Amino acid sequence: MFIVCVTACPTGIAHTFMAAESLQNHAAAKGLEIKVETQGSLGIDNEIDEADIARADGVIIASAVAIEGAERFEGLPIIECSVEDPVGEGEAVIDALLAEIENAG
Amino acid sequence: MSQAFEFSCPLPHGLHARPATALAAFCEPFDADIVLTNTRSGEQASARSVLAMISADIREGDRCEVAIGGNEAEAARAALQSWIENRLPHCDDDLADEEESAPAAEVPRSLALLEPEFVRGTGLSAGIGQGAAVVLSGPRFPAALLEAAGDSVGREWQKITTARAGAVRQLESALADRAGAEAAVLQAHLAILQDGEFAARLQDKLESSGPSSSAAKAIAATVAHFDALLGATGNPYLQERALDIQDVAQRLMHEIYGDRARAPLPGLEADSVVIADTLAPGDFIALNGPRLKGLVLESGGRTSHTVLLAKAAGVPVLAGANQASAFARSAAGPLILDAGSGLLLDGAKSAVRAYYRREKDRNDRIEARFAAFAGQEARTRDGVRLEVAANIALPDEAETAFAAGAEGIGVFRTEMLFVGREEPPGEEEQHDAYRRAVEAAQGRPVIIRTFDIGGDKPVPWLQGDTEENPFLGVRGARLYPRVEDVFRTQLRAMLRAAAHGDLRVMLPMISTPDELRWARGVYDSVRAELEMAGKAHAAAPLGVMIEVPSAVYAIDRLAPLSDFFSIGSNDLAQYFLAADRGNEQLKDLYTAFQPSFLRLLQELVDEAKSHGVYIGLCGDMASDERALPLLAGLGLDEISLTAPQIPRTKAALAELDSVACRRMLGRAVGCAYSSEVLAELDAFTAGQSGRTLFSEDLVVFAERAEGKVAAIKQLVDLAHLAGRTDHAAALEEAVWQREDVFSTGLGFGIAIPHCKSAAVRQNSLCVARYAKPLDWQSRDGQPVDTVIMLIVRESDAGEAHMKIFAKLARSIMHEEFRDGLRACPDEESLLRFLAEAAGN
Repeated sequence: MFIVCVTACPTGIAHTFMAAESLQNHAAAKGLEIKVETQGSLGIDNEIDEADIARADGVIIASAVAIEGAERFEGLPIIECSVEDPVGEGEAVIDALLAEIENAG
Repeated sequence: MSQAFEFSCPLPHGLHARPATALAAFCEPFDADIVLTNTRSGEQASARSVLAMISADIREGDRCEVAIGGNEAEAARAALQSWIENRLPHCDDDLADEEESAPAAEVPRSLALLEPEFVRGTGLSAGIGQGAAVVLSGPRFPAALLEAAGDSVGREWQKITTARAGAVRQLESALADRAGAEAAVLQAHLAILQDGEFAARLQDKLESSGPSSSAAKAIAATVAHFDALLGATGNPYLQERALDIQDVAQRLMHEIYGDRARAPLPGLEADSVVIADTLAPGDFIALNGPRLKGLVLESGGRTSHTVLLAKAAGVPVLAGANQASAFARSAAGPLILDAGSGLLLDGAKSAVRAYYRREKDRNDRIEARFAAFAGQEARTRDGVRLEVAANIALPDEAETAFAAGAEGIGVFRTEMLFVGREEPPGEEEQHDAYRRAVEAAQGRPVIIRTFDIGGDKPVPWLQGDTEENPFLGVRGARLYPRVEDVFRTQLRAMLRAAAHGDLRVMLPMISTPDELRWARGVYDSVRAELEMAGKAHAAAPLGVMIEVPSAVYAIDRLAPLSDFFSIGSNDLAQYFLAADRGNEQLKDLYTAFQPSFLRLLQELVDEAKSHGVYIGLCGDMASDERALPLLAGLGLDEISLTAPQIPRTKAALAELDSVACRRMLGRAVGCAYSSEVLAELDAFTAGQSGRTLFSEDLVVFAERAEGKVAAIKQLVDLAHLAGRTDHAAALEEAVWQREDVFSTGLGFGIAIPHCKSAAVRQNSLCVARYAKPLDWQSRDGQPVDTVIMLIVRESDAGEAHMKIFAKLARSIMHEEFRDGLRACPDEESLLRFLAEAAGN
């Protein structure tokens, strides 16, 4: 199981990275492969490319603002939430995506 | 044969006193009757009466018909039409030069929380003052005087005409030894006294006031008439002119009735905030003293003479606060004037007073840090000298300039002595002004610039041919051969004043060596004259302003004839970029940070230095702190700026390494765009300061905070004191803008308020730990005991600091980190912990 994520917060300084960290931690705990792209004041880091999307099972968009390149993920099972959700409830967000993937599949 | 034409008023502020005076002066010599009609309002005015014209309320865009009759109607029409087209639009040019503090912003969150009572206005000089409300209202003619019956109409009129003549004599003699702003005020009063409309109104009021009519009643009624007329227009400029009329009326009353004429001004027994809807300049002078903590002018605007005097005296001023006197009367406590935020507050609540006590205390501490530099020589970190001098326009400003730490006067602009008057100033008046400036300097150099008028600055005593393009016309030194006697008089006054101190003469607008050669010739001949006459004088160094690009490539020829140069960066940039400084549409083009302009400066300074000539720079660039590394990198000998900026400029200079600045200049010259230059400078300055992301002065352990607002305020104040921001209120607002989106309380007892803002000077991490946790509306509902505030510069782009912030943000998600953070017992250990976590 491979999931991709994009995190983006209003000022691009803190929550972007905290959300990313949290998702990475919780995914690891569940034995899932994950790639998290951050969109913040460092610009776009760890960009998700076509190859990633081709093999991804689902996507989480954790953002307070419109993200760059949202079209990339069309067609994938998706969970959209605020950027703070993964910070406090990282596990719940991932579970929600897993459920979504099951329903789609 | 009568003539007529139309025009549309081009002046943004309408045809108020200053342009009306110029227009009246222009029409004076013609044997013609000239009448303006404001087609919008229907008002008519003789072009010879300044008061009539301003009463006609001619606003920007109003179409006016001009009807001209009389013997010289034809000539008058041609000349006037041309003058209106070419000169009139420029009458207000120097008004644009006035500075204003930042427009009224949001009330800071921490203040709003206290729910203070306040009214808003426009702050005209930053500063905080607190005191008892003292409300002055209207002209102060004693009631007894107004009620007393007068003599016969004939005798009362006699009193008035005698008083007028006496007042005119007084003003003329006062003008002989005044200069600058004071002289301009007196000049305006003189114009009113001599105005036909004013006299007609006095006569009319006297004759129509009934049997008990008196001079006093007539004068009071005339004032009331103009107050109503000018006040009703809603035009702040006209309202201010009403003040001048009040002053004149007071003077007339005094002529007739002596000391009985004025109800005494309340003496200020205690610290006071004075409120008046208008205040005559003479009254301000009488009130000014240590007890005057602030001034509120309900209807006064930026340009009133009173405001100019208050600014010069360092009194915080709030203008345009319409309800201030009503507010003051109902206020329960002392008044607090916060000019920087544009607020007048009721200090009844102790919390509000406490807030401002803290604000003032903090501001004083910051000022004190800069003030410590005032007395020092200006040097870079590596000990290289760059003299920091002051720009002044009045001799009275010299004292304040030196108190602020000016190492000299870099340019004393003498235009105020020459404009707005019928005749050029006499030798004695000038000599007095220059001598005063030189004596205030106590041995330090005072560079005085010879008059720079003509072309774009209309001057009544200079009737030249009208020019198509006055800005590129006969101005500055080009004018001197045509008015050689005026130039000689000024040189005489300067050379005589030079006997009293280190005075240096500077010539503006020199474009070619010929002009300089000619001017030197006149200078030498004036010296010879003084020698022969045995008048006390001294040789004064003679230098040149470099502001015309052609002079830049004639440095080698100018050098042997010049004792020094001063770069006039404003005009030099305008001519070089072919851009008008005042043109809003060219805002991005006209900037000293254009790489090509910097290259010009570099070549110019290098050339001057290769000829061993002392070179300075005056112009807005010198007051722009962002430009300082470039100025230091150029290797200039001196920069001249506005006095209040001097201590902070010296402080900023002390953080810069001259060699690094030279390299920075090289990089700037090599940039493609001015925006690149600014971004590089921003990063450079932050780097040079040696201040790091974390610092001892950014960490505080405290018992508790009242709430989120107080905690954020505490951290912002910390950043302010540590010099990480110059605009605490703006920073506070930026942090709240983020906080309002959703709470930065992450849970785990930690909150991370943050922002990216232009108010931030350097990326910083500020931390507060509270023994008693406080509510932060966190996700997990738990209170917060550790607040980490991250503040980032706006123009920051992917720097090392951002990576540190990102790293720390990620670390906060790890329990180990959080436990370690919480375990730190004091400021030092916390600082070390964070530094380590950020390090690798």
